Amino acid sequence: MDTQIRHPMLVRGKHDELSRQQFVHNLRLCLAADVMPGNRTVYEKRVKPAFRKKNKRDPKNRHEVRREMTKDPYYRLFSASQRASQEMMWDSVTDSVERELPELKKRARGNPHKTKGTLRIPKNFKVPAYHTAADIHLQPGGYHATPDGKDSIAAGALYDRSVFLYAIGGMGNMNDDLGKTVIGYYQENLPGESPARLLDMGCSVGHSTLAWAQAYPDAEVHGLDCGEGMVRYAHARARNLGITAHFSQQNAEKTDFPDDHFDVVVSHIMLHETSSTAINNIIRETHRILKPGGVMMHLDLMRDQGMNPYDSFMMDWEAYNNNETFLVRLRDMDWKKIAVDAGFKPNKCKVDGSMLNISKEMIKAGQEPHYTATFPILVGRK
Amino acid sequence: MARAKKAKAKAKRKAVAKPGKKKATAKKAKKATAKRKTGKAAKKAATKRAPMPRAAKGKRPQYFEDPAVDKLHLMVMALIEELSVTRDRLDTVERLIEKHGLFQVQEIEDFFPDLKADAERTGRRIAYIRRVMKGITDELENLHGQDPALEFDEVVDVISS
Repeated sequence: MDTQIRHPMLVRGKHDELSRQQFVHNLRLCLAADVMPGNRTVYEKRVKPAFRKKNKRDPKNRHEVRREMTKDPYYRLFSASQRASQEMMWDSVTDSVERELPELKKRARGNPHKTKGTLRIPKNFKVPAYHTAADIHLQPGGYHATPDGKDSIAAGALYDRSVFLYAIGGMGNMNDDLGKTVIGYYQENLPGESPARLLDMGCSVGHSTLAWAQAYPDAEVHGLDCGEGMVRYAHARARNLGITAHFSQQNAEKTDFPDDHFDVVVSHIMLHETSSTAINNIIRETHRILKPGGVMMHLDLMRDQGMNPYDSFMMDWEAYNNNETFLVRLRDMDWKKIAVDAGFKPNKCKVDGSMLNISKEMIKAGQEPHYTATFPILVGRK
Repeated sequence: MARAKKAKAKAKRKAVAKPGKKKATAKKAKKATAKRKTGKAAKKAATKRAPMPRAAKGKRPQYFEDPAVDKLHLMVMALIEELSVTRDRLDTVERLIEKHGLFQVQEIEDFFPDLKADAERTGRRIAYIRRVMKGITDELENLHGQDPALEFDEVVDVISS
């Protein structure tokens, strides 16, 4: 059995359902460990030499690599299998969620630890087009579907279990390693500071939000997301874990929080699931709701700049194959310029970076980390 | 995907079943509703909701030259998955057998079929392999046949005459 912590809101699953989930988990592990590295070999030994022979030079950017690699049978079979694993993942968890929904919804109404966490769902919320154009990372119905009607939690229940399988456990037993990564960055780079009020934008089911709430138990911690089922589930999950946090369904582009309200505003791989217009709005909104002296930290995936064409091409995989389409654009954008345009002073903002918390912990323990890449963080102080 | 189709068919069946109910007399219907409100089964039916979506919105990339290969690949992936699930289930059965003391699982490892069992197994195994390989070997039958296989249009000519 995998190591995801079975908290009361997590879908249980029957024998064959769990077996399917386990299969997907292991399939993804094999694809990542055995099959994916072969793409580099294929590129170096077959694709690049052929390109060089024809063009008398190497591919100069990720788009050129992509044009050649998508013709290669090895890469095609890898991509088809990786895509299938993602589809099978959602399907295997949907079986369990669909069956257990009445029980999960009953549990969602309880507050066993009597926490003071709140939930706000506005009437007539408009889900932005960048969510409805295509279902992000192939979750059927996206973040926003409410197939279980009133008090919908289905999308969140599906997401919580599936993200663990997706990351092959790489985000920790509570899926909170990205939260811990930004917390680690904050503590290392801004020692002595601690937020009294914090907002996590695009919080989904509150994986990272709760990491912040646990790190700063005296802080007022908020999480917002466009998905109703996400925040309803996040609220239920937090209450069943006995952690206090406040969730609301809101668009990060325009929130209902007052000016100068938060000490810290964060997001964890949210930006690449927005749009060219939205990202500017979101950073502007971040600036508006931050207190003077408040800090923003938006963590996302690696930009094209500074990467070799092959690695950069592979970084785009999720954009082309997993409906994380805006990633392609975001990776070419000047993040610092966006922050400056949004009101941050040029000497008060930068694109910094951090290794994942889980990798750092492994290094500390004298182990070889699976992944040593540095994730970029857009940092700014108002 | 097959499951999504099934769910759709189910929903369709339900939709078809509804008008039929209207045929019942108003009185009967009223009585039934009253009964339904108090019945436990009815409560369960009331909480039954539409199935969750199974397909993600957005165009699926085509990975191979022939779209049929994409489908075939998905079928192979599903088969690999189901075989894995079956092995897990068999493993569960073996462990439960041992737990409840029916026999030791080691007996499975040490099991040696007698001649009769071995012959039966071999027969079944060969039939199974032939069924799987049928797609490959089918055309041979036509090649070896006395009469060459006719094209579809030729068959149409034959049956039209």
